[in-house]
Amino acid sequence: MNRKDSKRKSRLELNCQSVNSNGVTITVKSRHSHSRRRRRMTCPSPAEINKALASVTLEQLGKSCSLEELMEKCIQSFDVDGKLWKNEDTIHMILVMHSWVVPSAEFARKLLQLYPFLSSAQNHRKMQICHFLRFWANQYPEVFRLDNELEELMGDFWEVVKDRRRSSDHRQSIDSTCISDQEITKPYPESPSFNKKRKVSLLFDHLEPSELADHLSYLEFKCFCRISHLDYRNYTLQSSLREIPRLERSVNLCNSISQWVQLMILNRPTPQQRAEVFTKFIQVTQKLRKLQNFNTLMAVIGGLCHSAISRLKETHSYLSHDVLKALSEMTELLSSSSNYSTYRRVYNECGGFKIPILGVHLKDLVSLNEALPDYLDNGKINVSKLQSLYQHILELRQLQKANPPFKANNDLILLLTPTTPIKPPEEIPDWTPVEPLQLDPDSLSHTVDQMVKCVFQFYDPHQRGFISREDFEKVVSSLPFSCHILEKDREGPVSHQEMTSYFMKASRVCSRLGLPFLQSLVEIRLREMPLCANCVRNFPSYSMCLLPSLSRVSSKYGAAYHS
Amino acid sequence: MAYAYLFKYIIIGDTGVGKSCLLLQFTDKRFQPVHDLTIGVEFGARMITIDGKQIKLQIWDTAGQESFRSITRSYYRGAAGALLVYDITRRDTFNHLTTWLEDARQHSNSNMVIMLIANKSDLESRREVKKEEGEAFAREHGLIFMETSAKTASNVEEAFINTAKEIYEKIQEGVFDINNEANGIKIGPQNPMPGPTGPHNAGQAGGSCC
Repeated sequence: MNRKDSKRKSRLELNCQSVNSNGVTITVKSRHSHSRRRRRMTCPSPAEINKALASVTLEQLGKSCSLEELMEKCIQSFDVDGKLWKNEDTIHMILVMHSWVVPSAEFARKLLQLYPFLSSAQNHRKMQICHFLRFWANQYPEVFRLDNELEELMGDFWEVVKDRRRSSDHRQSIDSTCISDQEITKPYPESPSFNKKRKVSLLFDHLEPSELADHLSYLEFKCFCRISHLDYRNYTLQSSLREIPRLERSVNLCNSISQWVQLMILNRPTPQQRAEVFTKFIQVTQKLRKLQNFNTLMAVIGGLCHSAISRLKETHSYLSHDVLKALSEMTELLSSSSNYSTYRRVYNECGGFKIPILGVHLKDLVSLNEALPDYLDNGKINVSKLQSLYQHILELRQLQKANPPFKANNDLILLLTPTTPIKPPEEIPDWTPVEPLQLDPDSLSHTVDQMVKCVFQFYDPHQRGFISREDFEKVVSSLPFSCHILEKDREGPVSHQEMTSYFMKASRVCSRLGLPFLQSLVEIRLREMPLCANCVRNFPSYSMCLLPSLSRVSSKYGAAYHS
Repeated sequence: MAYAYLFKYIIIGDTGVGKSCLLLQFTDKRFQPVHDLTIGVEFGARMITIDGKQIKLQIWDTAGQESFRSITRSYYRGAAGALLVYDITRRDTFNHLTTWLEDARQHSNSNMVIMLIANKSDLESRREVKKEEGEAFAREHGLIFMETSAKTASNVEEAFINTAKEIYEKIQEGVFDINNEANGIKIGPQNPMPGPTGPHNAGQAGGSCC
């Protein structure tokens, strides 16, 4: 090992010491450990950590192992007092990754088979197994919470152990509200910067690019932090977002931001005004780049490069040279060419807080999983595959623990927040608006009825009782982007009832802005449609209020209307 | 290895239709599971021969990113060909073709060759989309159509190679501006003469007999 390497390794030790409680400690060869405290702290990049991690672990485990060998490795790493004295990184890797090849319940069952129930001796081994199980439950409680079979199995086990040993010694552990889980869902630091006296404008025009960037980043980071390693696994294995609400929320946020960027530009009537908004978004991207929030950067640039915007030649002619230059730099940075090599390089050079382009890293997981077999020819688990996948997951987990360099403004968050209702109550994020405008339910449902009626009158002149999905999306596209994602990818026409429930949800999202706000947006939407002769006949009043700017928007979003 | 042309392809379509499988099948698992996060996991290049010329196909897989629309769109830039894949056992993947196609047409160069791939033809018993429907869709939208099975390798070679042939023909016809890399075509290092390759050049490089 040359000097540079050894330096890197020892830096690594230091770093890992510091993140020990987060479950990413790396054990290293003992000859290094004496120097640990003497080294000055310099922060290695996650890439360095992962690289070193891979080499260390692979040395210990070899390329393949049977499930039993993996378990034995874990058990042997604990001493009688419950201290994990070696292989901590390997153990974390096994605990996170085993479920990619074997369900956790099966892993646990096999593990329990190793417990020498009948033997009165072997106390040492019994203790080791218990310590290992306790470690698992404490470090990864979410696995137990989400897997009933596993939880039951473990519950039974602890009962038996307790009975046999007549001691509560072993039984202090399975507690699903443990440390590391709270770590993941820890409440986001409340926004202290929010000066209550300051009047905050919610109008896009009044917001500084840096404010927008901060708040978009706040939302992005919230979504990113909620994604657990189980979500990555589920996504990679089932290759669909179904039943992965936390990941879905993050993806939806991205897509909504992209769409919102386009809408904000297209909503302006003149090319000059559109160029101004475009410029503002370029400034937002520059701020996002500084914040190292690559995910939102991708979303905004994606919006700006969408053909709906890039085809606006006149608008582009009003853009300054600097803006065009910045755009091309950002496009270059995020280009997919050579497997995002520019992005990957820049991203790896960035230290501290950063939000990765999730899609790129998910793609790595999917590619690795697809390309490498779970089991090798000898019938053993392909440990190096698990290790490679783990590197990516570990890196993402580490990023979730960083402290964001921005603060949020509650009112603004309200305007931008996607509040997808999520099933289990504990999943309702702490940043969900807590004080909805007190609307009397009767008047709420009355107003919503009116809105639905309005929409159906317009889009369903033949009173078939439903409107097409395209028309529905047209209505939705005029709402604040936080409302866009309320509906999952459903198919087919939309009934009265669905429309009503949609508006009810949207009214909750926009509660602070008030229902009239929502109502007016829907009205604008209906007015702006470029009407054909037939429609004008049916709705002469609408034809009077055509807004040139908005009809341009709708010609983009409403192209299917008359087809 | 020297090549006359490099074509950039992308593979698009819903999640789980077998995009990566198709690619892996075609590239024969020749890929480097790179541990270095700075490079990422990269696979998907293969050399083929058309008309006696070595052509390198560089294929970009969008698997894992399908739901990020702004990301998948970024692939269209500079692609010469696209394989648009659906799964014959899942009708929804067929229903979404229009969206994918719209996206592709909107964001790619107009000459991009798109091939419609109906994958998983080995799962005949679970078929939800008839071959005729695929053919009709392809006819209607001017695409080349083929049913494949990434599992049995049936038609996989053909799918990639036929797309390449189509691109090659377009180059011959001078449709593609091969000096513009944004079209997804690069001239190989040993091919110093840019411009549409006439029959004269083709004869030289390929050593064809007639």
